[in-house]
Amino acid sequence: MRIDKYWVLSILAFGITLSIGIGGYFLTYWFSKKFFLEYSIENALNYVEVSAVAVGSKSRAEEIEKILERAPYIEKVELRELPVNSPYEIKKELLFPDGRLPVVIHLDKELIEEKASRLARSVATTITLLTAAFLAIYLIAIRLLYLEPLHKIRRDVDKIYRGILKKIPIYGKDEFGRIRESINMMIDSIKERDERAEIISQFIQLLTVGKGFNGEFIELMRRVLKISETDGVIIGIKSSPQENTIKINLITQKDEKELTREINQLEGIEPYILEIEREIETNKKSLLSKEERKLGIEYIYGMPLTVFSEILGYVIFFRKKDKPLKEENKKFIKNVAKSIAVAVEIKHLINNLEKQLKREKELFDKVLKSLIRGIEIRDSYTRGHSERVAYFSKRIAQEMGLSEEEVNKIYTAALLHDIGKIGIPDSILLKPGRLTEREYEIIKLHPILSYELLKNLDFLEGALDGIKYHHERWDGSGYPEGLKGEEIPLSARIIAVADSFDAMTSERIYRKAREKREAVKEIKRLSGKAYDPKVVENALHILLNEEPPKPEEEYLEDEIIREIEERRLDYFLRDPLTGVFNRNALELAYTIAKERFRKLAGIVVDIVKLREINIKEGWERGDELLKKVTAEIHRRIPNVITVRYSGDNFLIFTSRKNLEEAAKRIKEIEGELSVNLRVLTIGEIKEVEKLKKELTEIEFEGRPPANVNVKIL
Amino acid sequence: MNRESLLIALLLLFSLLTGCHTGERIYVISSDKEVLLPIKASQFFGYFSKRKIEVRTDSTKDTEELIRLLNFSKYTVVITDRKTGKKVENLSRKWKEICTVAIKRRKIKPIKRERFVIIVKERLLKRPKELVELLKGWNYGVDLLKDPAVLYYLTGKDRLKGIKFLKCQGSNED
Repeated sequence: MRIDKYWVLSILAFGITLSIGIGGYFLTYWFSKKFFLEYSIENALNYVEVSAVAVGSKSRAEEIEKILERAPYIEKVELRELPVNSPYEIKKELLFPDGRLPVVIHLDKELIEEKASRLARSVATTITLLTAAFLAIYLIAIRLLYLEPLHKIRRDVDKIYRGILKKIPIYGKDEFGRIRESINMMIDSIKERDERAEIISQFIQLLTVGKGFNGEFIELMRRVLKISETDGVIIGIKSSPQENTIKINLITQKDEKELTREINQLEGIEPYILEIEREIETNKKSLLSKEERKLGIEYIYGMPLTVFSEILGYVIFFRKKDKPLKEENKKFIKNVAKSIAVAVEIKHLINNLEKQLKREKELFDKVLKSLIRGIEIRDSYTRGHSERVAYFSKRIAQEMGLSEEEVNKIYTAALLHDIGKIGIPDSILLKPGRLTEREYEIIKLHPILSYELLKNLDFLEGALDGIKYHHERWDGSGYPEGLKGEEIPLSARIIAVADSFDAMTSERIYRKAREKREAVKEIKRLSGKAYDPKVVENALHILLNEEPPKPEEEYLEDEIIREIEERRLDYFLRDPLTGVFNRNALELAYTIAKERFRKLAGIVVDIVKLREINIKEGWERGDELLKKVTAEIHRRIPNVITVRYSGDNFLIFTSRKNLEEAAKRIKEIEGELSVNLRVLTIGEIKEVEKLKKELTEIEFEGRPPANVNVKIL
Repeated sequence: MNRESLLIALLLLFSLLTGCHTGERIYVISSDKEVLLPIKASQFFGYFSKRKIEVRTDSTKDTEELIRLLNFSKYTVVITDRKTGKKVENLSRKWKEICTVAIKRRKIKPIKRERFVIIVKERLLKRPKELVELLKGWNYGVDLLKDPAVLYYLTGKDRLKGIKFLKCQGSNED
C-alpha cells in the first residue's frame, strides 16, 4: 500500500481524536472535580447556616451535628476548634446569643471524585465519538471533493503523456475546472515554447548545412511571423565579413523577395541599425525609406545580427499596425535573431574551413604529384605512369568495396609507388636496352628506397605497405621480401596489377606499347601466379574499359620530351663523333629498323687500316675520316639506320630489297674519300642476339662467319 | 450520558463563561426597622443604583434573633444597639464596629437613650470602595430625611419622634 498524504491525514485525524478524547477526559475531570467541590462546600455551608439559625442556641449543638451528618456530601462533622488541612474540610464559626460554636465539616471526597470521574468519562466518550465522526466525514469529504478530482486530473495528464489525449477535458468551473484550464494553458504554452525552440533549432540546421534562404527557411520564417504576431521580416546578411555587399530577404506571409545590394546603397532603417549597432523598436515613419514605407510598415522591431561583436547583418520584424509587440514575442524574436547570427557565423566558419581544407588537400596533392613528377621528369618515358596507376588502383579498390579511407590510402600509395627510383643511378634507370642481372638487382631496390624515403611522413602512414610491397607477387616470386598470397598487403596486390598493366600498355624506348586487350589477357593469364585472382577479377573490366583522366596541367609538353629524349639518346646512345647509334644502342637500332623495314638486312662497313691512319696522320684525320664516311653513307642512302658498334666498324640496317644497291653506293665512297672500305652484307637479320654474335666474329676474326647470309663485296 | 451530567456540563460551561463576574449584594440587617430609614431614603433616590451597588435591608424582632440570623453568611452589615454590637464583636473577631449612626430615646428605664452602631463583617472591610459608598449613602439618607416630604413619603409621618440619625464621620462619640 502506498503511504500518501491522505493516509497521513487519516493517521493525523486518528491521533487528534485520541488526543481530544484523553485531553477531554482529564480536563473535564479537573474542572468537574473543582466544580463538585465548590458545589459541595456551598451546599454544606448553607446546611450549616440554616441548621444553626434553626437550632438557635449553642446548648443544642448536638442537634446541629445530627442534622449536618445526614446532609449530602458531608461525611463527618466535628464541633470543636481544629486546624483545616484539606480542601475537603470546611471550618465554620457559628454565633449564638449564648455563645460561639466552632464547626469543622469533612466533605465526602470519594463521592466528589467518583462523580467527577463519571462525568469526565461521559464527556470524553461523547467528544471522542463526535470528533471521530466529524473527522471521518471530513476525510470522506476531502476524498470525494479533492482527491478524486485530483486523481482524475492525474489520469488525464497521464493520458496526455501517453498520447491518448491532447488536452485535459474541462468539467465545471470549480477550482479543479480552473486547474484543468491552467494545465491546458500550460500545455499550450509548452507546445508554443517547443515550437519556438524547434524553429530556432531548424534555423540553425538550415543555415549551417548551407541551404541558406531556401523554401524551407521561408516557411520557417512564416511560422515565426505567425507566432510573433508580426506581418513581415527583412533579413540582411553580409556576403562575407570582408565584402561590401549584403544579401537582403524580405519575407511576408504571402510574398518573398531576394536581392543583393552594396552596403553603402542601403536606405532607411536598415543602414540605421547597422550604424547604431543595437536593437531598435519604433513607429517613426521618418526613419523608413520610400521602399520600406511602400510595405505599409507602421511599427518595427529590429536588431543587428551580432556574433563576438562582429556585425553580420540585421533582422527587422515589422507590423502594419502601430501596436507594440508583447515582451515574450520580442524575446522570441531576439532568440531567432541570435540563432540566425550564430548560424551565419558557423556557415562562414565552415566555408572558411572547407576552403582551408581544400587548399591543404590541393597542396598535399601537389606536393605528392611534384614528388612523383620528379622521377617522371627524370625518366620521361614514364610520364603520367604514377597517376594512371593511382587511378586504376583507386578504381579497383572501389570495385572491391573498400572503405573510402582505404581507397584514399591506396590511391596515395599508388601515386608514390615509384618514388624510390630517384635513388637508382641514371645509367640503369635510363638504360634504353635490356638490363643486366646486376642492374636489375639495383632496380629491385626501388620499393625499399620509396619506403625509406617516405616512412617518416605521418600523413602517409597507411600508404607505406602498398608502396613497399607493390613488386611482391602472389606466388612469392616478387621482391623485396618474397611475400606470398595474402601475406602481401591488399593495397600492394592492387597496385601490382595496376602497375603491371600500365607498364605493359606504355611505350618504352626498347619496345612498343601493348594493346589494352593484349595486356588484360596477360594479366588474366598471370592471375593466381603473379597477381591476386580476386584483385584481377575486379580489375579486368576497369582496365579494359576505363581511361584514366589526363593530368589537369601539362607538366611535360611533347616538344620538351622530344628534346629531352634526344639529349638523353645523344648522351647514352649516340656516338658523339659521328652522330649515329653507338654500341649500347644496337638493340634499340635493331628495334627501330625492324619496325621500319619489313625484311631486315644489314651492311657491315669497316674502314680498313684506320689505326694506321690515326698513327701516321693523327687522330684528327682518323676522326674526320669517320665523320665523312658516315655523312657520305647517309647522303647516299638516307633511309638507313647506322650503328657504330666498334672503333672503325659500322652496321647499317636496311631492307633486304635495297641491300645490294646500298652496299654498292657505300663502296663508291672509297673513291670519293680515298679510303679503303671493307663492306660485308648480311642478307637476313631475324634475331638481335644472333646478329651480335655475327658482328663479334666479323670484328675479332676479320672474316665473315660461316653464314651464307654474309657476303664480302 | 444522563440528563444530570449534561446539565452539569452545561453549568460548567456557563460558569466558565460568566466566572469573571465579581459583584456582590450588600445585605444589611438591623434589630430595629426604623433605624434603616436613611438607607431606604438613599435607595429611594437611587443613590446606590447609580453607583451600581445593590443594597438589601432586613430587620429582626429582637437582638437575639439578630445574633442567630448572623450565622447566614450573606449578612455583612449590622445596625444594632451598641450593647448587642459589642456582643457580636466579642463572639466573633470577624465583625468590627464602624461608627454610631443613631440615637433613640427609650421609655424603658434605666436606659433613656440608646445608641445604634454600624458593625461590618471583615469580608466587606476588604472591599473598602463598596463600604465607603454604603456609608456615604447612609450620610446622604440622613440629609434626605431632614426633608419632611421625603420623611412623609417613607413613613407617612411629618416628623420622627425620639430618634436622631447621625452621619457616619469617623468616631462620633458624644
